[in-house]
Amino acid sequence: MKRIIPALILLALLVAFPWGAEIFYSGFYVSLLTRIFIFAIIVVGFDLLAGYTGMVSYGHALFFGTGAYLTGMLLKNWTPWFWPPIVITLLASGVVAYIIGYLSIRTRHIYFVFLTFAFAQFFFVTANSWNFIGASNGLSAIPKPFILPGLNLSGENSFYYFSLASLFIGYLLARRITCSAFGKIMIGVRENEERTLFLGYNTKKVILRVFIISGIYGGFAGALMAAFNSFVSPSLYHPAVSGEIIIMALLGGMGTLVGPIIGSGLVIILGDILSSWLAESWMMILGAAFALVILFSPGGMMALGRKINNLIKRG
Amino acid sequence: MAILELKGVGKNFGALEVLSDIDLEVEKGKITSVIGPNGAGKTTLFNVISGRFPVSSGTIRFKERDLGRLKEHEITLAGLARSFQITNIFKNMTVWENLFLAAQTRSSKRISLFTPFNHLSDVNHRTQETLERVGLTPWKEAIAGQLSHGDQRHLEIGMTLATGPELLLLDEPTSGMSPAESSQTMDLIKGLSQDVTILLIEHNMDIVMNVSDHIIVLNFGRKIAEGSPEEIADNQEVCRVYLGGI
Repeated sequence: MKRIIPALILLALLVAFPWGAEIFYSGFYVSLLTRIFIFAIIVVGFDLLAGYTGMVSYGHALFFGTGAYLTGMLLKNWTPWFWPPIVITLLASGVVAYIIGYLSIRTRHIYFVFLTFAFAQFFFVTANSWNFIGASNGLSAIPKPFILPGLNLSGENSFYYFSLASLFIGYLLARRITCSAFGKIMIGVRENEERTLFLGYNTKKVILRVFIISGIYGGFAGALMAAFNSFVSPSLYHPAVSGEIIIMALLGGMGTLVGPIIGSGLVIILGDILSSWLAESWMMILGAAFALVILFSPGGMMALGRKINNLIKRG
Repeated sequence: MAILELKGVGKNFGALEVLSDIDLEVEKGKITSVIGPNGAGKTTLFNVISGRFPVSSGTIRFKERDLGRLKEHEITLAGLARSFQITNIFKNMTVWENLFLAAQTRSSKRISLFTPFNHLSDVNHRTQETLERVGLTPWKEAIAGQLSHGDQRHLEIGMTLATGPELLLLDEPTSGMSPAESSQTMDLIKGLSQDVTILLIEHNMDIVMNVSDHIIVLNFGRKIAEGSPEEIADNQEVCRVYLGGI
């Protein structure tokens, strides 16, 4: 109950946030929060894999880009409705994740990190050179999709609410998984894979399942990003995006699900504020913040929050 | 009746032959111990039986089933569980969570992505039963890594037990224990043998002679003797290579 009340208050504030736009603050902030929600979805999915099974992927941009391109192509060339492209994107992301995961999970540690990176690079280079999907120009003029008859996502607020609801459902599903019997096995794999294996669990299968789920989260976030920006470019596959996903999860606190949402917010807000003052140099500040967190609070903002809370309790 | 049967089992790492032509049988319901000097190949023997290493030659049959083609987790599910020479538990989890995760392997319900873990009543029951059996009830909520060494070893035995095995492979369960803890462990092993067959690697000869029904002696990867504790104690070659003055 202690946690539910603040969570409900935060949710109510987020729901009310667009009403204050243009009165108290610029509508730009509604769009900024929407971007945070979209990124938070992929980072929550990444946290399921890295935070709960200990398999850190440096190629999650692969799912982001694939989801974005597929949805973008389908919206542009097939249907104005969002749901059929979303379903196809989720299925395709799952299949791609199955193939990449099947090949990658044979390795561990740095080899896994670089294998996932290599796969993402392959997609990045392909997207940059394949004319069918616009090559380096990407896909533009992607129409805003309809989610209900008469309701499309062209308005800033409608996209905001759709993304918020998606993140909320995505978070609840992830929470349900991590609190389940299967979630305990995931944590077992992270803590001691050998022991988990000798208890009778097929740890490779467990990791592969989580890899697929994580890829589906990434694909869904990419689908939202395509519709939100009405534009998709190969930069979505860029290693910098994969790096940002890791930074968001680490800054917030891996293996907590809430932490990665906070981390997504921090990186995007910091990026926005600092880049307006410092242009490209803002990355230096982000780098310094990241180094400080890793050095002094390896558990990220969530661990820092717990430490502060304990200090307050002790008086 | 033999529950485990090894015929001509060998294991090489490149040119290094660690096990050579091992034949052995483990009788159901008995405690069989494997002894031998350091480097004799005892742990490698456990590793090939439990599927950690593939055998280089020979066959391993458990309950008439060839283990050669099975993976580690499949061997556990077939009813053969093992503990390790160096304590191998989930140190950041509670004692209860360690045992629960082990017991969950035998859940009667299918574990889906969303199955709430506290809804598995049979697993809860088995966890509680194992907790009591290994004497860790007072430390149910303790973080496993914070237990004493002896209790961590008992927890590991409990975890193997919670997987519902018919054959338990215990690799030096008393290593690093105080005499009092070793004595407790000996009682625990004796108690377990009422329900499961045990294959034991142990350096503490008091325990080996006390609990074993049958002893197998390895030296340089070869079986040099086997028999009852009395026969092994009287064996000249065993005395020369391992037991010394006992």
